[in-house]
Amino acid sequence: MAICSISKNRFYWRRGALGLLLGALLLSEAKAQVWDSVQTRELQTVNVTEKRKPAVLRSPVPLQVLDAGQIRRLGYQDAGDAVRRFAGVGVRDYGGIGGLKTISVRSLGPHHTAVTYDGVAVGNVQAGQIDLGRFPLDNLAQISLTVGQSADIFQPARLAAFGSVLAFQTERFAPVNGSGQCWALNLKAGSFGFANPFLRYGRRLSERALLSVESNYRRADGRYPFTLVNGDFVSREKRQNTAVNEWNSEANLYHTFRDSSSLSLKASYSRSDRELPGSVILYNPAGRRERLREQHVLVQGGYEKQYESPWRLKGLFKYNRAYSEYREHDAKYEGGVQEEKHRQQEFYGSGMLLFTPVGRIAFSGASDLTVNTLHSGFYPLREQAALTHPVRYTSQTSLSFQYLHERFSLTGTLLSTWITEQAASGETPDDRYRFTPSLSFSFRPWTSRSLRFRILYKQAYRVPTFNDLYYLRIGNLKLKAESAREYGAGATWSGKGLPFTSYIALTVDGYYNNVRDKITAIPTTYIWKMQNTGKVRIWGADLTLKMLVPLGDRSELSLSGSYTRQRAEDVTDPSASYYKHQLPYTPEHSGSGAVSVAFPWATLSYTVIGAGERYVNKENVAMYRLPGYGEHTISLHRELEAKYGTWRLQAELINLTDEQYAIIQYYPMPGRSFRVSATCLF
Amino acid sequence: MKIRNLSLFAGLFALLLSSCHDEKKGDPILSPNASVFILNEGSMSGNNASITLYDPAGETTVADIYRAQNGRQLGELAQNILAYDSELFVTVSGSRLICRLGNDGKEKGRLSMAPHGDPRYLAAKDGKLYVTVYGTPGRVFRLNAATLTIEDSVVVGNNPENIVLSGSKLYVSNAAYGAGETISVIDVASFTVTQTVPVRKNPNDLLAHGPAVYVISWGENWDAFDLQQIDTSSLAVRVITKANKMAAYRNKLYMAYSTTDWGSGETTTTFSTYDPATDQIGSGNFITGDALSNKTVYMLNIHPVSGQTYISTTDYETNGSVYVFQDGQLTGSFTSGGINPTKAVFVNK
Repeated sequence: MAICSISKNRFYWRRGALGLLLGALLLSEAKAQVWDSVQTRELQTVNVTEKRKPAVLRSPVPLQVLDAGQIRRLGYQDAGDAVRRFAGVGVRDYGGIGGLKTISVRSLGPHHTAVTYDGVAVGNVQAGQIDLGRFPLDNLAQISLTVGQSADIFQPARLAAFGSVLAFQTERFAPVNGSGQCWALNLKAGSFGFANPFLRYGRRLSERALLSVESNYRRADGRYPFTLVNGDFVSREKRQNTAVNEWNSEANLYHTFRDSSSLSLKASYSRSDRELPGSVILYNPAGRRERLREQHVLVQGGYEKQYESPWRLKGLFKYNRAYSEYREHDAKYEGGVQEEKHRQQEFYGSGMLLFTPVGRIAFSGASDLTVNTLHSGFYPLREQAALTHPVRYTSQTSLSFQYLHERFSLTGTLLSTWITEQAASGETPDDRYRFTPSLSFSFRPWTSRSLRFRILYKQAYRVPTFNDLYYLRIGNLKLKAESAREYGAGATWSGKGLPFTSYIALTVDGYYNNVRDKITAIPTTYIWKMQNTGKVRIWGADLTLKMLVPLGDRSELSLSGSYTRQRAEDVTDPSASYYKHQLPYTPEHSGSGAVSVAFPWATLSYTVIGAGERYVNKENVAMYRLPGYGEHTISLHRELEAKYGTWRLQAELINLTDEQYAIIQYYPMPGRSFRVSATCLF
Repeated sequence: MKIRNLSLFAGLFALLLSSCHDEKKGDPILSPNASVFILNEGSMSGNNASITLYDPAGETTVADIYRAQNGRQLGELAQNILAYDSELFVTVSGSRLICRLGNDGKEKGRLSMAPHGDPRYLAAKDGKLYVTVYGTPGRVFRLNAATLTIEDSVVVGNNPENIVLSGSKLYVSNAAYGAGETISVIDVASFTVTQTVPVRKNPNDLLAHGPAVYVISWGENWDAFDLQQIDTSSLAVRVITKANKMAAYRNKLYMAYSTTDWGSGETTTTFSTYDPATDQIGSGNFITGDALSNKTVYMLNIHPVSGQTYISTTDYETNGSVYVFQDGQLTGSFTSGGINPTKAVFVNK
C-alpha cells in the first residue's frame, strides 16, 4: 500500500542543528593548552595517559575518554567511527562518508544521549537524533562518554534529562607565546574521491584575548564497490547517488578579564550538500534518489566567574538556525519529486551556580531556558503540513548535591522540567511537567589500593520531537514523554599489573535499564503513526581494559579493548510473536580493540571492531538474521620537526580484510580503502 | 481442516452470479483444493517481498516459494498478484518488476519497468495484461501476457492504484498519493480513457461485482475509508458504508473495517456484508469469534467456489498471520511467512 512506503529513514535525515559550542573555559586552562604539544615524545604520552586515567577510574559513573592523540594515532575515520568503539555503545551507520551515524548507549536509543560540543548540547528538536558524521575529528581535543549523571555537578540543567552525554571538546588553537600567530594546514585524501583540506589560524589579540579561525572542506563521490548477495546469486555493485560536499567555518574568541572571569564566543557557519544513496533495492539499481542540503548558523558564548570562595557562576547562550532542503525523486510524487524545506531555530540560555561551603560538600543549581521553532514546507504544497509551525518553550531547573570523601562520594541531582508548545494550527499537546532524579555513589575500600566500586541510578526522559508530534499524517499529539530508568553497578581497578606491564586499568560494569512509553512509529490501519506503546528491558555488562607494556629503548605498546554483552528485550506485548526478542540491530556480543606500538620513529596502530549476529526485525527468526562482522584497520603515524614547522604524517588502511558487511541491512559499508593525511603546524 | 464438498451445481451457480471473474475466462473450474498463493509485500528497504504457498487439502505451507524455486529474492515491496490462465503475475513495486510465474512458482519471464515507474496493480483479459504504473501522469500499460512485452500505454490520473475489469471496460483508481478524486474508465477495445468518474478522495481498492464497481476511498489522510458503488451503466456514485477491505462471493460483498484509536493505540475490526439486491448491510456473521477483533485486517479474499475465506492480519513490521474461515467458522491459521500479506489467489495444481 502506498502509505507504508513512507520511509522511516527519512526522519533520520532531518537532523537539525549542529550546535557547536562553547562552554566557558577557564583561562588558566587556555594557557596550559598550547597547541597540542608537538614535542610530545613517547614517554610524555604515557604521562598524559596516566594523568587522565585516574579521572576515568575515579568517576562514580561510567566514563570513557578518547584524547586527541589516540584519535589521531588510531586512524578513526570520523566521530561515529571513534564513538562506536566505546563499551556499551551502538552506532547505527548507514555507510559511506555522507551516511547517517547515530549513537545508542546501552540500547536506550539515540534520543537518550545528549551530544555536546564544547559543553553545550547540540539540538535537533525536529528529529531528535544527532548525526555524528557531522563532527570532524581534526579539531577535537577529546571525546568523552558519560553514562548516568556526570560527577561534575557544575553543568547545564538540560544535560540532566539524558541517559548519557557524549561530549566533543575542541582544542584551543593559539600561539604558544607572546603576541604571535600560528597556522595549521591539514590535507587529507583517500579512496572514493575523498579530499579534505583543513586550515586553522590562531593569534593572540592582547595579553588577555585569543582569536582562532578555521575552515574545513570535505568532499567525496563515495561510489564504493560492494558485494551483493541475493539468494544464490552474488554480484559486485557500486553505491550510487553518494556525492558529499561539506564546508564548515568557525571563529572563536576567548577573553579573560582582570578579575579573572572569562568569556568565550563562537560563531560558525556550515553548509552541506549530500546525495543520500538510500538502501540497495534489488533489480532497481538507480533506487530512490534523495538529496539533502543543509545550512547551519550558530552563535554561542559562555561566561564564567569565580567569586571569593565558595561561589562560582557560569552562563551560556546559544542561537542556532538550521535550514534543510530535502528532495526525494520517486515516481509516486506528483512531478516525480517531493521537496521538503525546514527551518529550525533554537534560542538557549543557561545559568549555573556552584556553592562549596566546605571542601567536601558542594551544591549547585542550574536553570535553562530553550525556545525551539520549526517552519516546514512540503512541495508540491500540502496545506496541512505547511500550517503547523510549532514553537516549544522548555524550562529546566536542576539542583545537585555532592559529598566527596577520600573513601567514598555521593552525588545527587533533581531535575524539574516544564514544557509548553504553540502551533499555528492551534492544536498542541498538553503542557508537560516532570521531575527526574539521579543518584550515584562510589566507594574505595582501601585508600592504599586503586580499587573502587560504584553504583548509579538515573531517570531520563525523551520528549517527543516535532516530527513525532506534528509530522504530516504520522505525528500524534497525544504522545507522552518516553521514560528510561538506568541502574548500574561496577568496579574499577588500576595498577602496575603484570611483570611485563607498566600499567593496567580495568573497568567492569553491569546494568539494567528499562524503557517505558517508548515512542515508535506503529503502522496500523494503513498509516504509520507515532505511539507510546513500547516497553524494553535491557540487561548488560561492559568491560574495558587498558594496558601499557614498555618495550625498552623508548618504545612502548599500548593496548585497549572493550567488550559488551547485552540483552535488550522487547517486552511490550506478552502475546506477540516477538515478546522478549532482542531489539533489532542490537548485537548480544560486541567489542573493539586497539594496539599501538610507539617506536621512536613512528607509531604503528591496529584497531578492530566487531559485533555478533543481529536481527533486522523485532521478530528474531532466521529470515531476519544479519551476520556478525569484524573490521580491521592499520595506521601509521609520524610527527617530525622540519625547518618550516612541525609535520604530522599519517596513512591508514581501513577494513584491510575487505570485509563486506552492513550495520543496517542493505546499507553496505565500504570495503578496503585507504587514506593519507599531512598536517603542517607553523 | 474440514473442506466442505460443494456440489458442482453450487460452484457453477457462484460463477454465474459473480461476473467479476472475467480474468478467469478460459480457466478450468477452480478446485476447492486449488493452491493458494499469498503475496507478502515485505518491508521498505527490506528486499523481502515473498509468496507463501498454502495447500488447503494438506493444510501445509511453503514459505517464500519464489526464492525456493528461483534461488533469489522476489524483490522490494511487492504490490499485487494475479492468477490468470493457470499462471501467476506479480508486480514488485520498489524493484519495478513484473514477474510471470508458473503454478509451481517458477519464473517464466520478467520485465523491468524501471524506465517507466513503479508497477502497481494488474488485470488481464484475452491474453493481455493491464498494469497501472506510477508517474506524472500515471499510466496503464498493456502487455502481452505471454511475452511480457509492452504494446501500448494510456495516460490516467497521478499514482494510479487498482485496476479491475467490468464488462468491456477497465476501471482505474487515481489515488494521486492522497490527492486524487477520480476513477478513469478505459475502453478495452480502443484502449482509450472514455470517462472520468469523480469519487471521494484517495480512491484505492476496486472490486467489480454484478453491474457495479465498488471503490474504497481512503481519504486525504488515509483515515476515511468510504466504500462507494459506481453503477457501470449510469456511472452514478453513491456511498454505501465504511470498509478497508472487500471481497465478493456469490451475490454479496464481504467487508472488514479496522480503525485505530491513536491515543491508546487500540485497533478495532468489525466485519459486515452488503447485499446489492436489497441494499442492506448485514452483520459480520461470515466471521465468528473475536480472534481478529483487535487486529488490523490486511487481506480479505474468498475462494469463488468453496467460499473459503482467507483473512490476514498485520502489524506492518513482523510476519503477518493468515486465518481461514469456512461458513463463518475459523478452520485454520498459519504464519504468512512475510510482512504485510496483501492478497491470496487460487490456482489449480
